[in-house]
Amino acid sequence: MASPKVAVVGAGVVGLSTALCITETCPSCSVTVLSDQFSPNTTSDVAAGMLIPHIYPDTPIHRQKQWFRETFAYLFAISNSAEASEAGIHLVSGWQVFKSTPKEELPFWSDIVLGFRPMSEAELQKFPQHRFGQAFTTLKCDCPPYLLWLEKRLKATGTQMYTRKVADLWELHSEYDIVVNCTGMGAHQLVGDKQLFPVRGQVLKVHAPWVTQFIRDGDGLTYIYPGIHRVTLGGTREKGSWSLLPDAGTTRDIFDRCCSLEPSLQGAQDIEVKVGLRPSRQCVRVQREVLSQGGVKLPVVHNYGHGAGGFSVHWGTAKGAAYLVEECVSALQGSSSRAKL
Amino acid sequence: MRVAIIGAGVIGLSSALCIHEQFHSLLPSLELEVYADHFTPHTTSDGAAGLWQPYLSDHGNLQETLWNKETFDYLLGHLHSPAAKEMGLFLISGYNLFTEPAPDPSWKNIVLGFRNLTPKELELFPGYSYGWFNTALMLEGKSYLPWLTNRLTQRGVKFFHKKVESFQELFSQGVDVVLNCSGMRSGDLQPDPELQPGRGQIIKVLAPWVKHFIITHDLKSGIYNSPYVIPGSEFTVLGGIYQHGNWSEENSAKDHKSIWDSCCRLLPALQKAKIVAEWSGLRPARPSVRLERESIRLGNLQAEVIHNYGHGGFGITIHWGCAMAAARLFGSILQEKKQLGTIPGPRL
Repeated sequence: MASPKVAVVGAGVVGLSTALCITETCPSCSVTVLSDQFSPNTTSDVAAGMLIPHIYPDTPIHRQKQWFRETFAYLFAISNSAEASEAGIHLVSGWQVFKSTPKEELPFWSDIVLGFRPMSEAELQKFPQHRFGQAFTTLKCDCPPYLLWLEKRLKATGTQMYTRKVADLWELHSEYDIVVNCTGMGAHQLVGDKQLFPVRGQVLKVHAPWVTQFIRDGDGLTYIYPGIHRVTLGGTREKGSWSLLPDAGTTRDIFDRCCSLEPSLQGAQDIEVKVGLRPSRQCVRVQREVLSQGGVKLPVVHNYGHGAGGFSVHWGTAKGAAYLVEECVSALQGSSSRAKL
Repeated sequence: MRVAIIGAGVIGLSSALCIHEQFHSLLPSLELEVYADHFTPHTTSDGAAGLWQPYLSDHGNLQETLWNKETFDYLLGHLHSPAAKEMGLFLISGYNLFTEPAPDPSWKNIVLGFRNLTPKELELFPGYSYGWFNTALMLEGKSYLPWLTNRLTQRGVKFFHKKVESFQELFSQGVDVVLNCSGMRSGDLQPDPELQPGRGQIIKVLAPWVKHFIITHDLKSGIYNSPYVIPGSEFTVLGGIYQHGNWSEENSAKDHKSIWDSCCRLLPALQKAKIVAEWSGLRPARPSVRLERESIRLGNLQAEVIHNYGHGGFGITIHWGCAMAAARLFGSILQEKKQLGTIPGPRL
């Protein structure tokens, strides 16, 4: 197999980064990205893109930490380079505040972000309803810029990208040797994964350029994340809701909760409301599978189910998936050389 | 009681506001007048980025450190008020960088969350081996000066666009007390060899991805002669020029190149930033701030001048502490003139 043809289905942050990783680890592979949506219409475009990990109950913590560490290091290098502004990657400092002291003092990622420490009494005075807090500096991936930058890097490697709705992975078996499934919420339908469920998130993207610090309530429901041009105000976590329609009452509620954390947001302008469905799962599915139908085999690598933590671990899982693609390539080469015998 | 303030930069306007706030109800005859040849956006204060940060060392001048603290606390108290946005006031975090370990600054306990930089953070800044991180405040002149002007106008303070040639000129018109907040040009009103220009030049760029201030220090070349990047609400200011004794307000191509090259080395992504403006200004530098009363004999009259100038590159940082000190001096003048029963206590 001289040039394995790999189809990556999905063009959110997971699909594009996985495709890019594959071009790096398997230079002989010919990679194509297929998706019904591209930026700015992916779930990733709704997210703020903050590198603050979400905990997956069934993924071992050491793996989650590895994924986060790899993602942080990769983005840190970009933020430090001349490409930072084009890639939409920037450092942002701020606070995570808690109304009651959290069970664990130190989250697993505290030594990966920068300058992590408890907030001082003076800093906590800004948050009269909160009793405890953590200050740190982390990275933010602004979308669309980050996704557009990934697309640009993919094009430079010769990767083709097509708008196409894939209704069944088997559609692809005649054109491609390996399929990589990065369909996020789409995997529910595409591969019938009933362990995958939506967690609806509504956010407001507002013009408030004087907000330079992020603020996040430790309950994960209320957050203020300043981006390059807009500040993302959130949010909601509605498990099982499939609705992509903005809700006016929710908008009001998010705005009020954020203003109580940061009163200056009262002056925010140009409020844009967006909704995304976090593709949630007890563990991220980074897994190889060989589909079989009528004697025909189709190697598939899954990389989906990142829920609220897509940006935080995307590069780590992309590398994991690329490694599995390499295994598929080896297996195909093994079987094709056997066929030649 | 006519009080004339000479100068409409941050010092003049805030001193006027502080005095009016404290005395107008006690002294119904109080009339404030602001005289200036330049108003916002053409004052020295308008050119400043607006970051609250004193110099590294107060050289034992504890009075100034106290005024800095009073200003920080005053501004912090306004952070959650509805006026904050209009004032151009917001929190900002950032980095101070050194090529060798430096002693902690006088203001380490005034700002929020002051700490040393971790090795990983220093990786962001090749060439720098030591530094601080803290959260401070931005007070943008382009918003703050108009806000002060509006507050003063609401209070009936009058503004006069003219260059005052002498203190005498105002006293002969019936002004009772003059507040000299004329910054760099104080020497025109009364010679002061200690007042010298600290020329600065800045480049304003569009770089909205920069969310932290970054101030580098070269302990040998002195304050502000090393690159700095200060993001504002609209533009980011790049600077790093301090030329003592240089009166030129013309932009220098050599300084432009120095600022641009050094800031792009510091933050490579700035190479893609669009330049929107360039500006030069004169920091009114003095070994210490001149904040004191002076009684001038004019014929058989005793005229009172309160000097409040020489704030160098830290005018915004120190302004409110100085305004309150100037108001206290005004109070003592009133008491001597028997205009007040007693000087108001705790509020001062």
